[in-house]
Amino acid sequence: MSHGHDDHGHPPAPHGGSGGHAAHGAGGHGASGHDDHGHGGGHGGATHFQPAGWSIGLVVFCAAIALGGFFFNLGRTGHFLIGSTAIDLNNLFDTPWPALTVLCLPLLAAFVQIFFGRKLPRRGDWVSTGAVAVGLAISLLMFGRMIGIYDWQFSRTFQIDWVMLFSRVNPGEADVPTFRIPMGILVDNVTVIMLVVVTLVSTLVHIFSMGYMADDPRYSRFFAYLSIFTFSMLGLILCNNIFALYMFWELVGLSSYLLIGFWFEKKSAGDAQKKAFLANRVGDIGMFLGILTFFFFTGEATYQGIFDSVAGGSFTGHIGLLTAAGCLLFCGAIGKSAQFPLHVWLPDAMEGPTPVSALIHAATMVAAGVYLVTRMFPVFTPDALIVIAWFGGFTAIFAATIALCANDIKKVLAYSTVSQLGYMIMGLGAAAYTNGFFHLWTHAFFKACLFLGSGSVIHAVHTQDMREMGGLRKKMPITFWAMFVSTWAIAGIPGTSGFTSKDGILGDLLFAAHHNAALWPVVIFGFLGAGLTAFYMFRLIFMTFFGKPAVQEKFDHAHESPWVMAAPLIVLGALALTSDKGGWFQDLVGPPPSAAKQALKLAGVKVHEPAAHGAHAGEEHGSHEAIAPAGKPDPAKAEAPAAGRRPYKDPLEHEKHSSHNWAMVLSILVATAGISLSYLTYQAHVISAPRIAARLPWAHRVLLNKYYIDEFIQDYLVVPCLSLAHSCARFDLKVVDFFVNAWGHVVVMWARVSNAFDQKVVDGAVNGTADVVQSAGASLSRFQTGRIKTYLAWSLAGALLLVGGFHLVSNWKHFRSRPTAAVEPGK
Amino acid sequence: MPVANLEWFLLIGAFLFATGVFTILTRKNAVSVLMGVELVLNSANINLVAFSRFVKAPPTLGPTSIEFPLQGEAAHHVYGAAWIGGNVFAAFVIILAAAEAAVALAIILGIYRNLGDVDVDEVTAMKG
Amino acid sequence: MIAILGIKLGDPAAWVFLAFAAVTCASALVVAASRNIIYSAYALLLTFFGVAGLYAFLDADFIAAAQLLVYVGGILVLILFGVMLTHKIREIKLSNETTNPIVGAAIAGFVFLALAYVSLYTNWDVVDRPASPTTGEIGKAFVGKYLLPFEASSVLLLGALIGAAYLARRDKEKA
Repeated sequence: MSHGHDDHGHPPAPHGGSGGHAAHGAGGHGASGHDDHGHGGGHGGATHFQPAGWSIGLVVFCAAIALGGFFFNLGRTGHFLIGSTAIDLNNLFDTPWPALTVLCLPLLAAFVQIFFGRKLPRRGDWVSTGAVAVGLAISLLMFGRMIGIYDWQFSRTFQIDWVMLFSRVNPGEADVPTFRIPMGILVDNVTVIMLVVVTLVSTLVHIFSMGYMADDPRYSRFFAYLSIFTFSMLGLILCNNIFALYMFWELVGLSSYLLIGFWFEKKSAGDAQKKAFLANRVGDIGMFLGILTFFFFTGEATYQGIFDSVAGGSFTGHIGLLTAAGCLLFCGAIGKSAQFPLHVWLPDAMEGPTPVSALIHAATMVAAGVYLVTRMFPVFTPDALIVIAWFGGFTAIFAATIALCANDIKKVLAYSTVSQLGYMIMGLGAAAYTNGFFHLWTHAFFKACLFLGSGSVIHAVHTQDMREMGGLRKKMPITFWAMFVSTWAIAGIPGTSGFTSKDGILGDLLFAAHHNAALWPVVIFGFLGAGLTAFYMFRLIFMTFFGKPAVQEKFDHAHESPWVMAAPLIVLGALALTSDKGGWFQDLVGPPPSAAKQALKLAGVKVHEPAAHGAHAGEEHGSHEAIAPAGKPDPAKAEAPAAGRRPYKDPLEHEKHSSHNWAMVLSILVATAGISLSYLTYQAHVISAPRIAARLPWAHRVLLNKYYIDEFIQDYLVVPCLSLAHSCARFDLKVVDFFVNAWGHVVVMWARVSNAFDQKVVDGAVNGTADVVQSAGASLSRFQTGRIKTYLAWSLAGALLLVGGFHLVSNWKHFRSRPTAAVEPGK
Repeated sequence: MPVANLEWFLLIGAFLFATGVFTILTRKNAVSVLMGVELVLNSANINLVAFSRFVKAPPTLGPTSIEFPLQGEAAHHVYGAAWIGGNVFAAFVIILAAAEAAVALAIILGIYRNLGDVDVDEVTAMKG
Repeated sequence: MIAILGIKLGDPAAWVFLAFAAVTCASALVVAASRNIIYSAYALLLTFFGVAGLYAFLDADFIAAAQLLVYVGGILVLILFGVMLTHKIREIKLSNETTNPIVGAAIAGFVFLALAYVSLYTNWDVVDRPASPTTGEIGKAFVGKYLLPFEASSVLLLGALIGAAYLARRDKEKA
């Protein structure tokens, strides 16, 4: 396929400033039809509209809908016919094999790519893409089946004993396993939703990468990394115990590290990958401590086991540690989901290829922290949840303000990601379990779309600086519209997916703040952040796609991306509009009963229940839920309206109603305000941004420098650490080494003494022995004359001596009794 | 019984042995040494035959790894009398003496060819 | 009747025995002491004869015959050949030097004393057994009880013959 990609020295980065548009048509689809080199300055913006673009887009969209819908419907109806053979999918979840297939295919693809990728046709991109596409198909089947089952408490676990340590409990009896760590997969609604998110975004990113990375010399390696990542992420969401979670957690960290530094020729990329790795380690240490704490107290490794054990009071007596353990666990989410103190790695991670940014650093991996909080939600105490909410809320507004002044299109999106992750975390912290996780679902699509769109733009104009763009709307219609609708979603325009989820979070937050004053600042953060998000996202759109071209030359070179890149944008853009529809999400994802509250009650701690303040209906329900053993199917929930369909009913729905109404009004207001301001500033130019910046120079400077967080870390963490290390080194060199050397001298002196002793006494003894033996041998060797006669004489003499001696000894008494030998004749 | 007692023969054997040893020890000529060896062998033979004649033989063939089908007197009748062992040994010694003499003379001739002399004191190639 | 170690002086056979013993011992002394190697050889002949006579007194007819045949007829001839082949025939004096006679005599004397002591002071388990021919018994023993040593000795003789021929022949390069 690749028409000589390897031999022209195009730098790996598409925005590397190469004049040639080599990055364009990826081999097989030069059919997108226009000649990069043909058009010079004479081309106007409007004339470059691709006539085929829309029809291709439509075809792609319809194909995606048809394919996805096909698998989805297969799963939903649960059976289908191949010819006359009926295939029954009702038992899809009765075996682990579908999930394991989804999990293992990318791993297989990664191995194939690593070992044979370069030799395969098309450098093997179809291997990885095919693997994850098959995974997507299976995931859609499972998704459809999940919709078909429609049970919010649906859960299946398949597990084996992974580590079993036997010990003798009763003497004389056989050893019994007293220590078990199971390994298995857990399939429930959250898992299936995450599966769809990961495989869908991953598939689209794979396809996008076929175009975006077409000229990269390490093309097959890129796909191998993507496959590794997909495998790790799928493992992370499929596993059913915290140790496996931690393993896959680190594996996605590794994939992230590899992919951020994919263009490691750039120093910035190498630095960024190290930064990401280190920042994540900081969080992961806390997470690991949390895992160990839970394991120590509960002795369980599976989620369900931990929940049951915590609800059963395993923390009683150390109830404070439950909050601490939750916070420690949340540290992992802080690192992975780039929450406030450790967010610094995510913007830098944009040094990686843009598809990677879309897949890992926007849609899936960074959501792993949110997934962690979701998954471990039952063990977070109310106090821990408040901590989580504060972290999330602060991150949401904090990152949004930085995004205001960023000019790098990917940096804007990166801070936007940080901010949106903050929303999710904040939502979970405010007990908005459903909506927090819902935001993960919607955000994955519109943010992946935005990133892929930005990749498309970068691919076209070879710059990441928004100040050098402008007016691209006409040149890149597909990209524009996909990004535009995604921007609606992220800005929270009603009717889009982002509006539903964000509004849900804010509503729940408002409700929670009514019952817990500590959350009021978080509410303010949340709404302000929403306004800021609308502002900076539309700023991005205005600066990139509207207005006049800032740099005419770049504009002239710009073009719509090939369909492999455009098609994912279309699909993701459509999802950005529609992924919230149907209401199934709220029906199928509900908060599991809180084990932590149960534990607190067991420990005699008064639990602050929102429902307790509120009204009537929820109280009954909530208390009942809390008393029921955590994780067991609640009989109260079994009274489902329709047979087999058991949607989740929020017991606090009535109480939350007014909060949600208020939140809707408020969020629409702030979104409108943000969009209007953005329009006035960057489109209508009524408000001058530079003038405001000049008016508030310090604020501008602070925002441009991202609150000096990096500098702060550098000056107050890195430098002190380094100086501490240096002083430690000096201490080591001066003091420790002194003692070590002194001891060394002592040892040397002792060794000298020992040596002298050895040489004089021991060797003397040895040599003396040797000398004695030698001289004895020398004297004895004189006997060996070589004369046989001498030998005979000596041997005879010896024989005589022996005989005589022996006789003398044996007949001693006879000699004494018979002193004279009388010659007595024989018989 | 023979005209002389066992001790006579043993004493003559001892005398021959001593004479042979003296010959071996004192002679320089290898052939003379060989003669001494023959004296020693003869003295041993005298002893063997004398013991065979005088001393009580073991009652059976004695412990052996070979399974003989006959035991006791019948065995002696078929395989030879028990007391004949000494004579048989003497016969073997004579055989060995013949072989030894042949080989020894060959060696002596070889030495003579190589050294031009048969002085055993000069043959010290095995000196340590 | 005076008897010294069983020898009855009145018995003529005893005197014959004593004569044989004297010849044996005397000729052995000559072998040991003669200055001429030829004398030694012929004295050895006498010794062998004497020993053969002693065998006869021991009723060992086969061994006595073998002594005469093998020693006198074979080995002594070999020794004489050895004497002849290793001395230049023109030399009048076929020297037969001795070294360290005193040491040798001392050792030999002590050996004799030890053997004599053992001979005289051991309580031999002597049985009175009538004389009987030995040849038949030896023949039976050779093909019966002592078959294996007999065969082995035949192989030994063959090996000795070959070895002697090999050792005695001249080296080709020297020839």
